Amino acid sequence: MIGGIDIRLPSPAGLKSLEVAVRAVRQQWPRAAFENGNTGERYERFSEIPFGDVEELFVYRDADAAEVWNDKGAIPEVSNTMIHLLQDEGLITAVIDEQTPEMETIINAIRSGLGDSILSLYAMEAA
Amino acid sequence: MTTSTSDLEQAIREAGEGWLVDSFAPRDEAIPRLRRRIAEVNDLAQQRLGGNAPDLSEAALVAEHNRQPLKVKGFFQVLGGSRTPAMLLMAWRIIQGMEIKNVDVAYNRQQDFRLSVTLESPYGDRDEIYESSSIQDFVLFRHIGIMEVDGRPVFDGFYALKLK
Repeated sequence: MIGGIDIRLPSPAGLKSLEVAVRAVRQQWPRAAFENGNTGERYERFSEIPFGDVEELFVYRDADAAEVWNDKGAIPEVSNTMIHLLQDEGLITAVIDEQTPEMETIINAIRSGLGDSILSLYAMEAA
Repeated sequence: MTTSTSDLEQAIREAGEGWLVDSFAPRDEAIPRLRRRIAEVNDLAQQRLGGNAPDLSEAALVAEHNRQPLKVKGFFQVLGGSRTPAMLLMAWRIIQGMEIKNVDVAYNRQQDFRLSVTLESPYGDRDEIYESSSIQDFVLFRHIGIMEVDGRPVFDGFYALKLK
């Protein structure tokens, strides 16, 4: 992914932004595998990701793609099989290899999920 | 982000959901009631899911709050709103990553309400069906995320509401 494309997606969802983005990616890659971009810790399953503590996440299409990335790096065979997600204040950045219809679907799904008003609007306390 | 409490009430307050306790009448009954509800959900999880069941004991829930408070916050919020263990278990399974495959809602004013939610696992586990006839459980849908994928509808995620 050297020289990948950065796509900046405004997010009002705060610390929930990364979870929303990952859930959107999973819609296209249901068997995705995950890696903490800061620590290198691997998460085989979505439930293992400590959202709130993770600011950067590599989302691989599946475990096989993750292995190739780990063993051989950014070779052409695995182009667009990993998305690098970064959570910043008010922003999710998705880094992809190249614009393709599949990537467009994923990015638009992230954008759609981040636009869900329940993530940003206040509700009143209720008993 | 991690904390280290071992007490349910403290965990609820750390999560910013102290209203669950303070607004309950009588207040002293709040934590015992929440404990019973958590135990009911955990028992149901063991019955329905067997070896695949999440540990939803009070201690495990508090430990999960210490580890991943964002995940537990939304669950705390609905503990006070839903009285149906199956629907609370459904909420937890969505938090864990089960996907919402199907939702059926039937409602006839002043007659009946029926809610059926089918969850599917991305890892090949069996579908899980959760049902309720209590309209109070509709509150759970205030927490479920929505998105579109190529214009197609998706419910996914179970999020804490921001409260004022």
